[in-house]
Parts: sequence; C-alpha cells; structure tokens
Amino acid sequence: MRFLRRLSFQNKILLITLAMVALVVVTGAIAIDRVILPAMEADVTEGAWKIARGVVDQVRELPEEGREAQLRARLKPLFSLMPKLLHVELLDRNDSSIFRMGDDECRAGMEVDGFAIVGTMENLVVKRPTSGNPVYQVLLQDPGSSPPETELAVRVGVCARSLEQISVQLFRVLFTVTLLVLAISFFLTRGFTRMITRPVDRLMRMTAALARGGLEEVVREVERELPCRQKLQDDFLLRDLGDSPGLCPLLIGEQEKGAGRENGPPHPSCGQCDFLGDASGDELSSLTLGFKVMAARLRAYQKQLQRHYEFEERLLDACPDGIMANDREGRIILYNKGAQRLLGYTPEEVLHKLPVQEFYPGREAQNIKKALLSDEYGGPGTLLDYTTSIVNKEGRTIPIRLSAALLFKDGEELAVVGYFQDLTELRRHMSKLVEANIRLNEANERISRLNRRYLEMLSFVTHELKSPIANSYMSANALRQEIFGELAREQSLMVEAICRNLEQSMEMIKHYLDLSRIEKDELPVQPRPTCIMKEVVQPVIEGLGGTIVERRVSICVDVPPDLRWNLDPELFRSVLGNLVNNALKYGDESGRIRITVADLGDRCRMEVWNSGPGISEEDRGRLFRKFERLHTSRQPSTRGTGLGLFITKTIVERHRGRIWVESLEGEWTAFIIEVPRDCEGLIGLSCRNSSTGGVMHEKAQDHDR
Amino acid sequence: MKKHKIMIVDDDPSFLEITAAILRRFGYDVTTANSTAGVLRSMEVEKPDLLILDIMMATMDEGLEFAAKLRQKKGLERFPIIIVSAQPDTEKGYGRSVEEDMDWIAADIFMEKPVDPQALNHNIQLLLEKRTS
Repeated sequence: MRFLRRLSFQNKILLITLAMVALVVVTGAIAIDRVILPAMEADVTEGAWKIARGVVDQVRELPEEGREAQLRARLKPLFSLMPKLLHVELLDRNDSSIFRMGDDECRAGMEVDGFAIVGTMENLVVKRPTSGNPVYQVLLQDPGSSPPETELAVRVGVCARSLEQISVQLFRVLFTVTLLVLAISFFLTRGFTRMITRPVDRLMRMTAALARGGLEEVVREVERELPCRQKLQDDFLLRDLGDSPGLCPLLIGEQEKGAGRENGPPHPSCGQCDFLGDASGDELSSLTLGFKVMAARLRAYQKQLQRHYEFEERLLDACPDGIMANDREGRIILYNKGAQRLLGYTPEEVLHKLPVQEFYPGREAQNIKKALLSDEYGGPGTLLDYTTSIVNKEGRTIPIRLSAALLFKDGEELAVVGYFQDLTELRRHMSKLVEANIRLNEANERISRLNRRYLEMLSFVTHELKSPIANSYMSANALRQEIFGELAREQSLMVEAICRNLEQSMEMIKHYLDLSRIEKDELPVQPRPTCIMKEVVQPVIEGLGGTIVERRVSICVDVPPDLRWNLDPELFRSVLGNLVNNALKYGDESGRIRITVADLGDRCRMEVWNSGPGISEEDRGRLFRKFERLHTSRQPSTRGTGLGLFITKTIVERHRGRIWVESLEGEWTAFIIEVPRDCEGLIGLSCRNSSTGGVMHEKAQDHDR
Repeated sequence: MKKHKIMIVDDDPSFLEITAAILRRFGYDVTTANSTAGVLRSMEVEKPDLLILDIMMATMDEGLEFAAKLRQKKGLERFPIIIVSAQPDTEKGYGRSVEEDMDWIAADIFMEKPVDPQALNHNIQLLLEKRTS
C-alpha cells in the first residue's frame, strides 16, 4: 500500500513544482508591472519633461512677433537631435493652436480631454492622456495665480511607444521563460520521480507476478540482469555447474554455503560481477538481491520438484502394474501406463472424467470400498491382495489382484490409490501348473504303485524261493553229514556241489531280502555294546573257513581282543562277511587278507585289505551302487547279485558311519569303514544297551560250520 | 530206553517229510501235523516230549500264538518248544529283537531255516536233558 501511495506522490511532486514555477512567474510579472515599468515610465517622463522644458525655454525667450518662423528654425535641430520628440504645438489661453510643428498623426490623441497630471515642476505641469498615443502636455502656468492660470500651453508629443514595446517584450520574455522552465521542471521532476518509483514499480510488478504464480517470469526478469551470465556462458566452471539451481554461481554458492559473502566471492567468476557492489548500495538493490536469491532458491526448489515429479511420473509409467487414484468424489486423478495397457483407455479419456465405479463390474466398487474400510485385508484403510475383476474399454472382464490404500490429509479422506495386477496370465500359468501337477501326481502314483508291486514281488519271490531252497539244502546237508549212511566219493562230491550251489542261492536270497527291507525302509538297526573280535570277526572267519582253506589264502587279523563298540552285531557280521567274502572272491588265490580294527577315540575303524588286481579309479565310484557288478578278468564266473556292497554301505550309513575303498591297481584293495562312537541319532531303532542275558538262545548260524 | 517223541508242526509238507526222516535217523519217534488245529488234542493222545513249530502257517504268527496258548495250559508251562522259521530271527518278531520276544514267544530255541540237522539234534538233546534234570 505504501508503494502505491509513493507512486501517486509522483503526480503531487509534479503539481507542486508547477505551482512553484507559476508563483515565480506571477512574482516576476508583478515586479515588472509595479517596479520596472513605473521606473521606466518615470525615466521616459523625465526625458519628456526635459524636452518639454527645453521647448518651453525656447518659446519663452522668443518675442511674440516672428516667433513662429524663429521657433521653427530653432526647433528644427531639436527634432533631429531628439528622436523621441514627435511634435510641438503651442496653445493660447483659449486652447486654440497658434503654432504647430512635427508629425500630425500623433495629434489625434491630443484632442482627448482626459489628461492625467504626471507631475509638476516649478511652473510646469506635465499631463499625459489616459488613453491613446503617449503624448505629454506640458503647461506653462503662472504659479502665483489661483486658480492657476495657464499662460501658455505647450503640447510636446514625446514618443512613449518604446516603453510600451519594452513592456510587451518584457512580458513576452517572461512568458517564454515560464514555458521553458515549466517544461524543463516537468521533465526533470518526472525523471527524478521515475528514478524513485521505477524499482518500486518493478518490485510491485514482480510481486504481482509472483502472486499470479508467474515464478518463471520473475526468474527470467532476475536472470536477465545477472551481468556475469553472458560473460560466463562459455566458462567451463559454469558448465561444471550443469543444470544446478539458477545460473548465478554466487547465488548457488550462497545457497550451498549459506551467507558467506564476507569471505569473498564464493565463485571465481563473481569477481566479474558488479552486482555484488550494487547490492550494498541501497535497500532496493538489497531487496532485488533478496528477490534474486529467493528466485534462485525457488527455481532450485522448482527444479527439484520437477525432477521429483518427473521421476515419479517415470516410475509410475515404468511400473508394469496398473496404478490408479481417485479423489473423494470418485474421479480418477492418477492413471499410469500400466493401467492404460490393461484398461485400454487413454489418460485424456479417464483423468477427471470417468468415475472409478465405471471400471468395476456390478456393485464391485462398493464391495471394494467395504473391504478397504474393513479389518479383513490388512486393516482399515488398507486393502492387500484383494482378488476381483475390472472391465476394460472393450467391455472384457479381466481378473485382477488389487491392493489399495486410503490417503488422508488432516484426518480427512483425500484420495484412494489402487495398484492392480492382471491375473489372466497368472491364472493361465496356474491352471497349466495344476494340470502338470495332476499329471505328475498320476505319474507318481503309477510309479509308487509299480514300486510297491516291485517290492511285493521281490519279497514274495524271495520268501517263496527260500522255503524250497532251504528244504533242499537241509536234505542235502543231511546227506553230506552222512546221517542217512555213508556216501561214496562221487556221491559225496555231488552232494558237496549241491550244497555249495544252494549256499550261493541262499546268499543271493538273503541279499534280495535285505534289499527289500532297505527299500521298504524296514531295516532295523539294534546297536548294543559288541565285542568286535568275539561277536563279529571270529564268527565271520569261522563261517568262511572252508573257502579260506579252499583258496589257500593267509588271513592276518589285527583286532584288539577286548574292543567293544556300540553297533548291531548281526548286521556287522553281514558287513564284514560280505567284505571278506569279496576279498576271497576277487583277491589273489594264495594271496593275503588282513583284517584290522582300531579304536580311534571318537570312531572305530575297520579295514579289510587284500592283495589282488585292485579296482580301477573309474570302477570305485560305481562299486556301492545297487545291482552294480564289476567285470573282472580273473573271476568271470563269480556269481552275485550286485547288492552286497550296496547293502553293506546302507548298514554302515544306518550306523552313521561311512565306507570307502582304496586301491592300487595290480597290487591291493582295501575297504575301510568308520563308525562313530555315539549311537545317538542312529537311523532305525533306539539305542539300547541290552545283552543276550542268560536266556538259552543259540543261533543256527553258530552251528552252521 | 524209551524213544523220545517229537512233534513237528509246519504247513510245508516237504519240510515235515525231510525233518521227520532226519529225526527218525537220530532215533526219535516223530509225529507231524500240517496245522495247529487239533494239535492240542493229538498231543493228549500222542504225548510228545518236544514240539518243533513253524511260525508262519495259515496266518503270519500262527506258530507263535499256538506256543503262547500251549504254555498257558496247566502242566505245560515248561513244555520244550523249538521254533523254526524261514524268516531271519530279527524279522520274526515284527521288528522286535530276540531278547525282547523271548519273554512272550514262549519258545525255548529259535532256529532259522535251513536248519542244520546236527544243530537241531544238539538243541533237542539240550532241551530234553534240561526237562529231565
């Protein structure tokens, strides 16, 4: 408001100046009229009086006769000497003209009655006509008579025109000067007031522009004024600044470091800038600088906002999911590319035009609103993974998964923003997955059915085979033991052959039974403290005694006689038996076998070593696989199931131990087993320290020698 | 000296035939039955000194059940029984160990088929001596 008033002050200054000029002019006019002109008139009058007196003196001295001619002769040089003397007329007492000389034209005024007495001196009265030509009448009066009688009147016409001309000229000059002064003072005043009001006016304009929201305009206005900008256009330092806020490095410096101008210019280029010097000049400059700083900051903020906005815009568009927001009235206020892809509407068709309800089929919009406000989907105001559908521009219903949130401002509901995902693809994949799963399950079932049948068959066949073979062996064994009488040598050989073959068959059956139990996961492990030497090694060696003798193999046993370990003796007899049997089968005939058992503290190590051809590195990996049989050149005819080492490995692993093979081809083979001490976590039955006790219990095996 | 009488119960006729022949050679009087039905009654008639039982006959554990039933009879609490089975001893008790099962199996000795004739004879003699002592 003050600025506006200051602006109107400009006119007042102008008026006052003009009034003052007028006053001076009036004063001048009065001075001319009252002082200069009377003075000049007095001067003229005096001149006229002198002329008149001179004429009167001439007239007085002349005799009456011949006066006229002599007067003419005397006055003639006077006329030529005094240019102001126009005419001379002598009048008698009756006012009749007795002599006349000079220009008659100016006589016209003499006829006029009204004369004003200009002054008196001695016996002369000087009169001047109140109007008409400036003619002075000098009367020669007798001073003694009363009323004074006019002896002789001499009318002397003195030209007073010069006086008039001077006065006119004076006033003309005054007028001209006045006009000139008026004009100059007008422009001067205007100029000065402009100097005052222009910055204010500019500030006002900027403020008004700011108020209108025309920040850009203000910034342009401000930036145009930065003197260093043009100079620094090619400066690499400025280029370094990139698109940082504003273009004035000083302002940028200020913005970054705060007010730090006392420490010199914040940018080397600011040395070229005269703006700094100006800034401390006056308040308007400071104000302008303030404006510039503000504008730069606003611009920086605006840029930041713009970048932020652009980033968000890009983010929204980059999001493959649809994002939409609507205001309280349900009008769409946000609509991203994902939503556009899904729904088919352009943003122009949607934004601030379509209500959000349009996109949902039936009363789904109300349901969504209800779900959003309810507690079920992530709390009131939040909707998480709500499965619904949406209708696109073509009218197709698309299944979607919707997440939404209510946005509040000052506790008031402002908008609802929703994120949705097309489930069509997902559903298609899902149904494919489900189909695949069903097929997989069917296949699985078929496989497990087959497996079950295989296990049933395995177990059935072996069980059913076992009885006749056991019966055959029993009878053959009875024959061999000569229970039914002594046998001839050949008979004995035959029976021996029958027994050997049946033993092999039984061994194979035992393997298949073990396999069937392993496959059905029914291999019970019953560990107990077992004396390795007595309960494992000795029975095995005794059981294989016949074969050992037959193959003339020397067996070296290095087992601590009182070493006890927690393991299943039955299963470990099978393990060791299998390993020694292999050593006998595949090792050198007349070779060596060494059985070593050692207590390593936390584990028990058992090793079965034999001299022989060894096992190639390639074969070692296959050894422990099911049904795996190695083709050895030396023992092409050895029968077997290819299950022995698989069963062995399984038993060892059920004791949480491990088994591996070491070999030097052509030299030796060693199978090594390590069983940990603690039996906790054993696969199979629980750890139990039971002993055979005093029950009369003997194994058939013990007698099977 | 009176011959000891041994009764063999098994549903496998071949086993009955072979075992009977072997045991007769060892000098025992042998009677056979192919199921446990009627064995109690025939035992009263025949009065055997020892019973050899198969486990799996008509049912999975017919032999075991019969042995338990027999031992509950008055006067037969300590009757000597040898169990023979095609199943390995670890399997016959449905996953139980021999030691566990001994308490209720009510058999004195368990033998896995094929039974060694000498070992069978040895066990029979052991039980008969124990009974007479």
